Amino acid sequence: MLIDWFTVVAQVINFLILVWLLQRFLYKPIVNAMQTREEKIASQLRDAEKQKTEAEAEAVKFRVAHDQLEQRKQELLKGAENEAETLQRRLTEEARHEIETVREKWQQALRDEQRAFQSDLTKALRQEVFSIARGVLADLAGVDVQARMATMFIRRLEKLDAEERAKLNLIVTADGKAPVIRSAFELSPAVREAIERAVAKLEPADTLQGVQYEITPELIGGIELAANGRKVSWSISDYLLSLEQRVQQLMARRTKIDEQVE
Amino acid sequence: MHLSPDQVVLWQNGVVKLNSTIITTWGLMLILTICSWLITRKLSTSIKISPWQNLLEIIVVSVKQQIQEVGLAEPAKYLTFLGTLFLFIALSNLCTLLPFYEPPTGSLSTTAALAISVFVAVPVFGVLESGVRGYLRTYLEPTWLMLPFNIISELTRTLALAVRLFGNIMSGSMIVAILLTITPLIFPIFMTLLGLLTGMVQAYIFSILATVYIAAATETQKERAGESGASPYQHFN
Repeated sequence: MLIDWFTVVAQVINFLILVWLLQRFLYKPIVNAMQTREEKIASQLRDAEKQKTEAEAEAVKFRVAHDQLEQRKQELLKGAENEAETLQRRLTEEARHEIETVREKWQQALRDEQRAFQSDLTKALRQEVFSIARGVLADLAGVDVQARMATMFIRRLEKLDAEERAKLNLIVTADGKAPVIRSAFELSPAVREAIERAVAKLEPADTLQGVQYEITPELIGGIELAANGRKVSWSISDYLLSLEQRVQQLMARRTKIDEQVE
Repeated sequence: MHLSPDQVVLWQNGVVKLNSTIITTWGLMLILTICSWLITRKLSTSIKISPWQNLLEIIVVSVKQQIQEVGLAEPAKYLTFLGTLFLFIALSNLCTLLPFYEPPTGSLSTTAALAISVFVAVPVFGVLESGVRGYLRTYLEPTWLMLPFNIISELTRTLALAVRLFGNIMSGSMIVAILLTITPLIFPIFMTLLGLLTGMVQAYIFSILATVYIAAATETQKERAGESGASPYQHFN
């Protein structure tokens, strides 16, 4: 017989004991632990969901704040840029103006210097030219030239018109002094006689008190009849003075034109 | 050479005796209980758990899933009984790997005891679920003409449960023992492995059939209430 009934009964009891033991030590604790864990996980998930919602709300809030900050930053930047641009423009304008002023001053100084230099040059040149001319003419003026000079002077006297003669005449008679004949060199007797004859033709013989002679080297070459401030002359010095005045007038006109051009 | 470990009697006093089957069963009970106690002694309820706890949880959850799949809506009620059936048979068969071990499931007394337990558990669960009248009415389904057949079916399936498990395990052990005498090298190892597989399959079949019987006894009420669908019992009988 394969079945032993005592063993069957014993095994049934054993099995029931085992069921109780496993219920006590295995299923109950495990099921409880799983249930607790499931509840815990569910609770954590709920918490996580809640935190996520809160975090999202926070994120939205922060994003808005960030956007506002960004906008404010942009505005400030734009303002600063505008300000900087204005300042730059103003400074550039000022610098340009200053440069312009400095340039103007510099140009003015340059012009002044140029003018002064031109003036100095002109003066020096003129003096040199006249000095040379005087020298040359003084060297040339000699006794032979005197006769020619006397002739020219006499012709001058003869060419005096009535009004000029009257003035000369008036002067001669007014102060009562004899007219002075000035020359750079000692006049020869022939020349003196010819001059006296010419003077005599200007005035009646009774009013003429005679003629005085003076040597004046400044005349360079030539003869001068002076009577109380008035004079009739023919001299190289006169020509030179006249030339000098002419040159000065020319230079003045040139300077004026330059200034207008600038 | 003996067919059943019942025949190895260690102590006897009249009818009362301690044979290999009972002793081995105690050993298995001890192992199961001590292991369970060791693991569940410090269970973690946090997300981080020990591997052993994880293993136990997998077993428990799998058993519950199996019960649910067969058609019992509340697996927690039946977990203890069906889970213990499976664990005891599985461990008993698994230990065939050990030398000089004779599985208690290779004894017809043990398988008969388990089958009797199922035979009793089915009406108990049925009555608990549907009441005495409700349960008894299941014997008259689908017509009263089926009453004798239903009663015969109830008895024969219990017998079948006991003999199926016994036959498979006993034959496995016998084949290995015989092969050891004929070809002592290598070949018995494969047969042992095959026996192991058979043992696991038998543990599964035994407990799933018990579940199906219980499900058939408790589902009848719902079927009468008009729910369509074939009874799981019809698939497995």
